[in-house]
Amino acid sequence: MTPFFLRFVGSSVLSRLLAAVLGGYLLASALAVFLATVLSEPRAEAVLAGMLWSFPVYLLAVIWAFSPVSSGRVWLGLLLPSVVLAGASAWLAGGA
Amino acid sequence: MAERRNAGGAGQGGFRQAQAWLHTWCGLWFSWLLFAVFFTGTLAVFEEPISHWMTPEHHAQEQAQAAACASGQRGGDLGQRLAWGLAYMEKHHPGAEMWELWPSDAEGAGDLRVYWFDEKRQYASAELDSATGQPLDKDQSHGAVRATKGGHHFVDFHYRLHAGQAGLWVVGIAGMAMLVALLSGVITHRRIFKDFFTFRARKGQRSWLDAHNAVAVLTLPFQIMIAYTGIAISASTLMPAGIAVYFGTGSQGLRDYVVALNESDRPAPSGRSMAVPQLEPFVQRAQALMGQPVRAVVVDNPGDAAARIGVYGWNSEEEMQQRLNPTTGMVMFSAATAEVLRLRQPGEVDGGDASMAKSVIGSLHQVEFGGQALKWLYFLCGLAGSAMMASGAILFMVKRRGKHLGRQAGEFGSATARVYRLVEGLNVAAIAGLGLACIGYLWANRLVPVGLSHRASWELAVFFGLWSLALLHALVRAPAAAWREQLGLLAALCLLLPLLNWITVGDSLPAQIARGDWESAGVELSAMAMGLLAAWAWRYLRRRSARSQSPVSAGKMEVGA
Repeated sequence: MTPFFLRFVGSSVLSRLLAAVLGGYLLASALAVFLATVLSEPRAEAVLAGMLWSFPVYLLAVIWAFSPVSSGRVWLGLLLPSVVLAGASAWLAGGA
Repeated sequence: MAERRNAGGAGQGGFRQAQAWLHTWCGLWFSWLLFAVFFTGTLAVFEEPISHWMTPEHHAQEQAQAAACASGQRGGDLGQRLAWGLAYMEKHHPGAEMWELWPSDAEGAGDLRVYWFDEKRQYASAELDSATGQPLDKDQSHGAVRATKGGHHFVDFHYRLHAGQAGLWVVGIAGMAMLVALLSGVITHRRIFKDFFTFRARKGQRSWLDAHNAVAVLTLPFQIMIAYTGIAISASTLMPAGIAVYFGTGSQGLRDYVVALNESDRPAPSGRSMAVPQLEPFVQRAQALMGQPVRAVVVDNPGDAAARIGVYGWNSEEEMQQRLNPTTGMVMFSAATAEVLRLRQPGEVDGGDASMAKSVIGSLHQVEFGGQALKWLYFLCGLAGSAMMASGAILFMVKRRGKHLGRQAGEFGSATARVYRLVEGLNVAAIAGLGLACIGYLWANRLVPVGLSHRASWELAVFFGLWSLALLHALVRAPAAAWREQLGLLAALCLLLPLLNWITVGDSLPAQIARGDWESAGVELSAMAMGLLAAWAWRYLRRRSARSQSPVSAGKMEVGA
């Protein structure tokens, strides 16, 4: 059997862990900003609603990051929607 | 299940298998911290009774107050108390941007307190004599009353580990890990309803798994609720992206966000001076409008023509049996024109749905509704959650004992034996050792000399000191012996707490019950219940170790400990 640390990196646990913790947080943050942008309530209320919804999304992102998909797809699946949400927020906020 | 779990890796095998891997490792690495957060949070439900028990010098004072109240002596009346508070603030803190007066309790008796923002924008407070209006010297009782953080130690520790903002982040991450462990655990677990009713006693690993499943499944909604609400309360710290984008970063952004959320109509100072008018007429009108007795009077921009007077009410206990949202009634007046700027009825919130959700989330987490019965339910569910984490951590080791230890390379390669040893030690220190630290904190309250300077910190030092010693002990001694010794000591300290109180302060459990002091009696009876539990576990382990030393039953070691 390979030494523990080799197995750790080899099985891409570290990559998945980073994707889950950082990628998931990025996605949750992007969703929080997106909801703060699009919800029709007063801005502070919308910001609050975005924050409250962001944690369930973070949770699902972490769960998904450790499901049997390749870690490359995990990274893509977390970063792409984050970029889309952030871009949409910037576009909508700029247009408003 | 054990085999399936160990065979998988991150994202390996089927979905359920991958989740089992996540549940095992996420659960294990966070179980010790989460157990500490959960157990102290459970104690924090009874913050007030614990504080009461820890300040015995106040008992006589509280009783005198209750007696005075019953006989109709309640200090100054409302108008008098408000005038005293106002006079104090005008004399001592004329430049503060906010004054806050708490004239009395809901019955018009009790303490008279004032608060304000000092130069550093920190909340500052003073207490005035409710019979004369003179400020009470904060240190007058120094040397006579024991300085203590009381039950608030458990509150502070459970949400930020006494480490301020850094601690808040650590606990927030642990809370998120708990949600991950809960959800992955549910996914892993096929037979969620059947296991409601399954407990196979004295079957080693099976029993631990059954126990872990039973406490988790039975209280699953509570565990999910308490983890989510705990994170959401600190959302503006933990998930600040929205605030950063729309209100700016740092403390200024946070402040602007809070103002926009709650006080978008807050007036700017006009620069023209105007003395704050007498407060009683405002308070009388507000009480009639919101139908609640006054709790606090807040004056924004005092001394300015744009001053604003907010009057807040007290919730009655009956009201908090009826609704989840704990906000009280509030009436905001213009100080100059006495016109009503804003009226909030009890149970309404200032903002919209999100504000209401936030308010209910806070109430759900801190059990501000439902009275005493619900506090006990929270206490029991909190203990169940602690048991879930403890049994999970123990199960991890029970599964592995005797299985891999003999081989050359286990799941941690050549370090496997050392890692298992560390996990065993951490289990003992995190579970039994934390119990020792908590009960030791109560012992310290009675044993640290009353006049000592920084006395409250010494009590904390005992808490952390005992915990560190427990860790050291758990790493030095063999696991089975460490469990026995720490549980034995825990049982003794818990069961002897009433005796300690009787010897040091002269207050006995029967006397507490006789005078109807159920807060003190509750603390001691609960401690004794914990003591009995620890004693039972200690006896069980002692018997088993005696059994396993006889040659006949040595084979049973493998499943047990």
